[in-house]
Amino acid sequence: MKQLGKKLFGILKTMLLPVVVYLLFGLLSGGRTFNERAVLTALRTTVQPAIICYALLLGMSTGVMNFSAGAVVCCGSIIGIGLSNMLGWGLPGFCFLAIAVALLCNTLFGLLYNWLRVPGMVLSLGMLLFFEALPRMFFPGGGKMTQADTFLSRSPACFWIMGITAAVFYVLYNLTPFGHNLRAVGSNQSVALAAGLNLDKIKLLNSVVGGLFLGIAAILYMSSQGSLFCPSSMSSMMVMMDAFMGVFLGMLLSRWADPSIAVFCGVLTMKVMSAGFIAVGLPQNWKDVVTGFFMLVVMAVSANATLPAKMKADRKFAEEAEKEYRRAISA
Amino acid sequence: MSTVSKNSAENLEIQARLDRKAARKNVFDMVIPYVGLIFCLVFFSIVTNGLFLSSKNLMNMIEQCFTLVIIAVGASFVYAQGNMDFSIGSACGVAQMVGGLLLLKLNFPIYIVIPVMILVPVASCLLVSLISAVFHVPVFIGSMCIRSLLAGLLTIGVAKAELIIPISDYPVLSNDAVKIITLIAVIGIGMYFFHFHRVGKWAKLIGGNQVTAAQAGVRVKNQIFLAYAILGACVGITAVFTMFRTGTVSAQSGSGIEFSMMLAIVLGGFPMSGGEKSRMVSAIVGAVTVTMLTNGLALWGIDPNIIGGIKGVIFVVIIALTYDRSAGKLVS
Repeated sequence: MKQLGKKLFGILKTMLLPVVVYLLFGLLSGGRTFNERAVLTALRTTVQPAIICYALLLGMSTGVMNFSAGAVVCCGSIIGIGLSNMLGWGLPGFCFLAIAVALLCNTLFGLLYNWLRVPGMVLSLGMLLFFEALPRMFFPGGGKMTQADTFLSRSPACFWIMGITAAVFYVLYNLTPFGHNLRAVGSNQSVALAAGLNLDKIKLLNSVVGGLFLGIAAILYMSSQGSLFCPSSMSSMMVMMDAFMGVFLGMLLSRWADPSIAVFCGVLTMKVMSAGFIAVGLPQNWKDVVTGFFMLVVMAVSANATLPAKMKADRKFAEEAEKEYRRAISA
Repeated sequence: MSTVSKNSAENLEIQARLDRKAARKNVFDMVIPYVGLIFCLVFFSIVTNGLFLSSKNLMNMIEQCFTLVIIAVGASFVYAQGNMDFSIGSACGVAQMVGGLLLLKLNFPIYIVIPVMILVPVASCLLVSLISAVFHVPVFIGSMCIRSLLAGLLTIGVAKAELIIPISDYPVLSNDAVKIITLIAVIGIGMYFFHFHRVGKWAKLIGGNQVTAAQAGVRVKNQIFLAYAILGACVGITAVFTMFRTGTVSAQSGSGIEFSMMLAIVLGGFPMSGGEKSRMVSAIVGAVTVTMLTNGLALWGIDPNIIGGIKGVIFVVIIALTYDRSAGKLVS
């Protein structure tokens, strides 16, 4: 009972961050964001980046930063809708194909990662360019969805998708051997290898599961945009930028709540913040600048999160040593 | 006794075999960038029916090469330390935007505009190094954040309209002789500092082992700042000449330079992790190869957006061929 109470209190603490940011910007904008529509929009726009976040978090649990996630989402969206339109398979066909394409792309990344043994971050950069060029080879004009099929990114469908995806992520990450292995590899690869874990298998499976989440994000991305041009010159990075920030913020928040909730709250905070900046009168063009700046702040805080605790421990140690020294002198 | 002698003889043989293998790998690593360069030259000459080697295209390639080679000189110092900067393209674009605005909107004289244009990327590169060295944010991610920030600033700066620079008013800056002199000067100064001065030697030492460098008395953070400042200055010089070559500043200005640079480093055989094997000539050879690749593929009639994908594949293949896999399965 006490454990449950502690967990609930942690979740409340995590959820407090977006609420505080929302209240702050609401007050700064003279109450312009204090309405149901603004809240729903913030929640709705959080869904797709939060699902990309889950994929990124899986990779980052094993220390792999995948910069090609945005390109995989674009690939899944454009090739999925293009093939579905060509074959006349409609919305179910698109959903199936988008997930299949994203799965294939991420599996290819995982296979190459295992085979080439180069850092994931470097490999993902090369793969990003390849995945950006891939839809252009088959569908140079991009992809277009009929208006009737775009309901998936709207309320309430998007919240159902979010709920189911979060539940799947929670189960996979916390209640399966896959999740435990993942965290074991993430905390110490050498020990995990010595303990008999098959690193290659775990990392490949991780990429496959990540591909599934990216496929779901691809469906929502296409639904929210309606039509998409093929990405170029690393423009797909912008697709994953919100998720990228959310995942770091989520990792900071995950000390209080489960990552499945923490990353959602992280992305929601960023979304509330960017909507808040516009509400207080900041031009739309400034979005990238604000995003880059906040990401920098979040990264700096995230990288130094253990610093205060370390300083406190050092101080305590110094005080104890001083006491010991004085005691020895007086004796 | 005889067992001991036998064992030591076996050990010597194993050592000799390993030495031979290492020497072969060294030769392979040194030769492969030049083979790549020659392959590009021959391949594109054949598939474009000689158009690739026409005087007009060669001049065009020298223009394109100029940008990347100058940045390669500066990037050598940063990459030799095992660092990188992913914001140089956006920094180059913002420098052009600042220069354009000063020149067109505020009517500043050119002798003020040029130093300001050089200082903008220096400041941005110093910011990247500060975030990495002081705040311990991984340099790759820190520079990604700065890239996003600078790209946003560039979009804001040219939001209303592209900046059109009156290049005919400044013929000196588009003069070929001036460019060649600048190129030779930058390479010469860069080579001296990289190979014969403590700045370059310390950069390689930091790349080899940062702790050892610090123990040997090198002020690691200061050297990291210095390397990034050199890179920034080179990006600034490039920004000046690029602005007066293209005559326009748009939201796309400078885009793609960062990846081209990374590709150049990889294709030239410059070790990504830095260290004592870093050679500036590798970065320069890589820059020339990337220029040939981009130009040759475009001349061959490949869609410019597909070229990005081809570059990506080449990047992965070269990384696969040259990356040090001593970490085995423990790579992340």
